[in-house]
Amino acid sequence: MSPWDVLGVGPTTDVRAILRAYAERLRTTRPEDDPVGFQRLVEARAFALAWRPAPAAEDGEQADANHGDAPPEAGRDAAAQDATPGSGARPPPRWRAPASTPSPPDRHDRAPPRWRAPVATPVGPELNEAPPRDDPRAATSDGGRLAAFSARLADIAAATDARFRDLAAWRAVLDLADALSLAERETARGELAALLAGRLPEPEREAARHDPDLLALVDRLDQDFDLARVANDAKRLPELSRRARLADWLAACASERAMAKRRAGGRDAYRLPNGLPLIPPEDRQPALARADLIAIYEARASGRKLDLLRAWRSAWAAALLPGLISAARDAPLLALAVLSLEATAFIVAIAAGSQFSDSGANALARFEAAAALAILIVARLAAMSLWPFFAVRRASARVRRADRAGYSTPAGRRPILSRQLNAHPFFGVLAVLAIFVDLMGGVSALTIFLAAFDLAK
Amino acid sequence: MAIAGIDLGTTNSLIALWTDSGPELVANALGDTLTPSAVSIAEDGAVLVGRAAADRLVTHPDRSVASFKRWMGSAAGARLAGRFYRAEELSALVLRSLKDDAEARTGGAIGEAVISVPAYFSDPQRKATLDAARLAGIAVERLVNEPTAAALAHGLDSVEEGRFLILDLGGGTFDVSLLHKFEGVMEVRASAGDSHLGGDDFRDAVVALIARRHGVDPDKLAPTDLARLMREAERVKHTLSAQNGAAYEIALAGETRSGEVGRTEFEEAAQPLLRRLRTPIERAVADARVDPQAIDQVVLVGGATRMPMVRALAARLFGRFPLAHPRPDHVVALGAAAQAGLKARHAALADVVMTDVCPFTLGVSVRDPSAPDQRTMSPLIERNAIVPISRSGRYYTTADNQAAIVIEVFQGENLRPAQNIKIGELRMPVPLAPAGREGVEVRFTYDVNGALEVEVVGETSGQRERRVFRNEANLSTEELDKRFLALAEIKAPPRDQAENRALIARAERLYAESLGAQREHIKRLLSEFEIALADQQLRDASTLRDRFAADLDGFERNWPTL
Repeated sequence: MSPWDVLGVGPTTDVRAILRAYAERLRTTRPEDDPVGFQRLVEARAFALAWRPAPAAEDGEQADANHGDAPPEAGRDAAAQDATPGSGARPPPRWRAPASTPSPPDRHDRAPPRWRAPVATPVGPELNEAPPRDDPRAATSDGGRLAAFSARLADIAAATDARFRDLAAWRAVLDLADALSLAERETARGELAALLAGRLPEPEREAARHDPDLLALVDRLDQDFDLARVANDAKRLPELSRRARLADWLAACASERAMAKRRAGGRDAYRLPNGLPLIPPEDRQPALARADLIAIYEARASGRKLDLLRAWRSAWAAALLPGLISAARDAPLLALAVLSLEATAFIVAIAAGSQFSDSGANALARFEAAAALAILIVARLAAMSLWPFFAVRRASARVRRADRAGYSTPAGRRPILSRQLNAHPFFGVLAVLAIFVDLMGGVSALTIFLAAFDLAK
Repeated sequence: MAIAGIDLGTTNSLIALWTDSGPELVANALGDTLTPSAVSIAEDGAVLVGRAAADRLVTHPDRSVASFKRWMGSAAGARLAGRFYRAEELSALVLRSLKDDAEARTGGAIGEAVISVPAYFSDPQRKATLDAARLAGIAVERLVNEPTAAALAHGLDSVEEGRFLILDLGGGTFDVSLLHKFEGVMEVRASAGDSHLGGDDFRDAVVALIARRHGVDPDKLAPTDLARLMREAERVKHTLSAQNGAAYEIALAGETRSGEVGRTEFEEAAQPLLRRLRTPIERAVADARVDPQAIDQVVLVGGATRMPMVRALAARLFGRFPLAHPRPDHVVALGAAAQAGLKARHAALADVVMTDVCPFTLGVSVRDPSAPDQRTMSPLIERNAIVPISRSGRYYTTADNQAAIVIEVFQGENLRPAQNIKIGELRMPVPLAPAGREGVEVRFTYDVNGALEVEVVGETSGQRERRVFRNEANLSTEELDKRFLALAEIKAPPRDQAENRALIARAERLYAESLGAQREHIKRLLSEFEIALADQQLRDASTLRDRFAADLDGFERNWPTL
């Protein structure tokens, strides 16, 4: 049974016809009497409202055309509980051109606003007098309020970092925002997102978490503009998508604080008179997962094996340049350890070389040359076999750090996890040093060993 | 059999009857439609409900209680005069008083009744409300969300079709609902709200304002002083809705303080509260995926929307003047009565169909190795889905040879299950197999009453388990019967005495609030009244009562300048 059969109307984009058919069917499919039929009806309506005829269709508001042959645009929207006519597709972020983008035309049979209230009385215009005359909200006109907000925001955007943290300036801007209408607020939120995206440089973030001024600002911003939505808006700015985002950080910070607050509130609400919690704390691991999460889980479990395999495959590289490979593989501590071993081997080899006499190497020189080679081999074996463990430990440390910073979703974490050490400026120095020490240590220890035991001949 | 709708509020409760001409409010024994949700135990063991109990909050804080709706669904309660009362029992006493009022009006028993509950009420809280109705001896089969009731009442009132945004700011809660009315269908598109934001918070802002001005810490005041300060703040708040300033005079810790609160001053103090009003509005509009411009009318209901600043906020947000409902306190009760009429298939409502939404997300917790506590929410029913609704999902084992799958059911919007409200859990044994091979199908069914049924079916075993969750804090059936009998023994004073009781409580409260000569005056009035009552037949008491009431009125009107 197709959704159109359920509704009893042919394929159409006429919202009015769909709603009329829905209302008619609803009289015989009441939610109390026939929950199953009702749900089918609701889903059929959601499908019908989201349905669009094939591309060639005329793009008319009232297009009542019955494109019977046009395949419905898949059932993907059938799951959407309810799509709003006219605004089913959200308009693009409107802060780009607030004036030029008209709000989407309303397809619905909305009567012109000649509202006659039978019982309710409109709130009288005396409200206009409610705010005192010198109040900027009352003085400026409708469009002027948004313009004033934008201007003040631009001031802050242009300010130096010290001004940027100036709480009083922010408060003044946010007070202006109090007077905006819902539609204007959407524009305002977009402007705020554009400003906050990538505003603070990376290293400052951790320190900023403990700055009481900034935290007060975060609270106020979240209260006024819902930072989670601001961050969402900021993500839609393509030119900034690859840069560090203050908005993200602010949202994470705010959600952490909100969580703590909610937790406290929840504890109070669900407490017995004797002070014990009503709902016992959960100490057991939940033992189930959704099918899509299993994929991640398995990839992660087998990921360690994959790393080891790759480690063996590229072992020859680690044997040649152990320090460099360890550093590149995100195991800097191991790289340092390997490099110091190699440096030791180099020094021991030089010490052995200095004791060579014309008659050849003595016993001590031979022992030192052998030791240098042994140290060299140990360093290379360590680099070949140990780096996966170091790398995995480091990766999980990153996950923990991402959690603390509030990047709780896999998508939010990915940028942090994929940020490899080789993106760090320190890596260049380490790499040069590693190549130098790898080559010097290896070549010197080997030549001295060969010379000491007269193997070169 | 009468059809009734009950608004069991945090501060005030109302009952309305559905009649052929529409919903009609019932006045209580004192002639008021609003019965304060307060209970007090008198010295002779009688239970006082309503105005009398609210007045006794000041004079007998240890024997009186209010705002117990916040405890519904938990084991919390209050100890009054040596007996512990759970929130269900206290609510039942209020419900019983409302029922008596309605039965006195119709002369018959109440048949069908619908009680309104806040939209955010979870399953256990809804069950506690049903238990309270049962304890009160009312047959309630249906609950209705408060914002839905308000929307229904408004939708029936208005002749036009279109989209209405209903803002309901009550004593303790703020609810927003978006109603779409078309072709005789009333569809709630989205509900949102703040469960801890209401007129009381605005009153507390005034309390803080006055306390700060006189260097008093409200937390350190004696209970009776604090109660007095709150009453005075409430009066100041009401006055400020009509005037630009309100004078106050209050005795705190034996010292009389006086002053005036200006409207601008009050509005500045309440600014943070106004900001909190915006969040649910934006959420409801966003959830319904409606352009703010496409909303035909913004309607204000709830007593606290009388404040000009709330009206101004609505006007600013939508760029047009909102409609102020003429009876903002009554809308929810009227809507509940309409819902009762709908349920009873009353002829007047034959053409109306009402659909509601589930105001919160319901889901199960799943294992997620990337989460800090290894678990995240997997939502099955998203918030603001039209109910009744049934949704299912498949879940699999995550460990080799896992013996059972535990389905934990949560309500809430947070990604982390620990931050949401746990409703209950089900355990389904599965055959031993490698991870991911064995699974269960979980089906959530959410009905029009807001009750959730969870069904779990084992994929290979075909074993089936069904559960409607009850919180451990909810009363068991035997316990309910026991408490019903216990409550039946507690006598409310006869209806014709309720008015005398209320007057005496009011005089006692006035006595407690005043000092010196004023006290002597009230004491004299009160003892004259009590002596006269003892002498006279009750039938003749009404003239006495009227005189005494007039005396008290005169006293209170001149207060505090007498």
